[in-house]
Amino acid sequence: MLFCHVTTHIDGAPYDELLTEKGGGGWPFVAVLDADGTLLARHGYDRPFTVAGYTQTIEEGIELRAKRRKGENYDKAAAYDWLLAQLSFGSLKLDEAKKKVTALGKLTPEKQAALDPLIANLEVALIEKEQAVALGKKFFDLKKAGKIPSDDGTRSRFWDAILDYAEDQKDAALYEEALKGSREAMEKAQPDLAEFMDRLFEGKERTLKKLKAGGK
Amino acid sequence: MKTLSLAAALAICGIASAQDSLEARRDSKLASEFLKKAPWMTDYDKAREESKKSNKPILAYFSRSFAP
Repeated sequence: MLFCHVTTHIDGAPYDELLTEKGGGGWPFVAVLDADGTLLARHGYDRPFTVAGYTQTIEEGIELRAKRRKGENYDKAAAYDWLLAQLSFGSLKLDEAKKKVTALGKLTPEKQAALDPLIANLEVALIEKEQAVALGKKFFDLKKAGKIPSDDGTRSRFWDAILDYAEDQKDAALYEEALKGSREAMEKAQPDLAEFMDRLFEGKERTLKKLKAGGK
Repeated sequence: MKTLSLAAALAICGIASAQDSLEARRDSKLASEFLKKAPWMTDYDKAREESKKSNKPILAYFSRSFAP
């Protein structure tokens, strides 16, 4: 089943972020997907752009699809392999991952040892996010008190932290204000990056659009 | 006030023109020769529907049209 996705940057284009959703960081990028869009394999710059390379990726995807099916039909070994793949793709949130680990029951020490670091990735990411939001809240409180840093670098970090808080709170107006402040501060702090500014802020502009549209 | 209205109108035209350009680039990409050489689908919803019906996984090739 051949599917070509084209990222267009057209306002309102459906699935325009499918590339990043599937773990792609640039073009060209190839992924093998299940019928519900679940990622089964991906082929980016970490793999050779050769027929053999693509063949290997496709075969991995087909094999993983079979394991997914078996895992969903109570084959615990297959379910374990499927879980490892999902964790390596970054497809699961921590609570989803923990439920799946529980469902696997007791694991051999080797299997547990392979799983633990992948779960730790998610735990660390969650703690980092919580701390980022907490920091953003503190800086937001400073802003409310009229305390905006004068140093360009400090102000850039100040607004960046408030962006995290605003996104967590789904506050589009605050996010927009922080985005403007962040860009202005970065342009002054790092004028040598002027030509890259649009690119650097592209993701954040997309987040702002989502917040304005009421999305997560 | 007239100057502001004119500036706003020009800004809106600029944005509309940028979007038109993006749409033209998308249309040009979708008319690419490589898409005619094999049965490529470009609609994600339809690709998933077809994958479900045929029980075949999707081989997704990602490209872009907004920049070369």
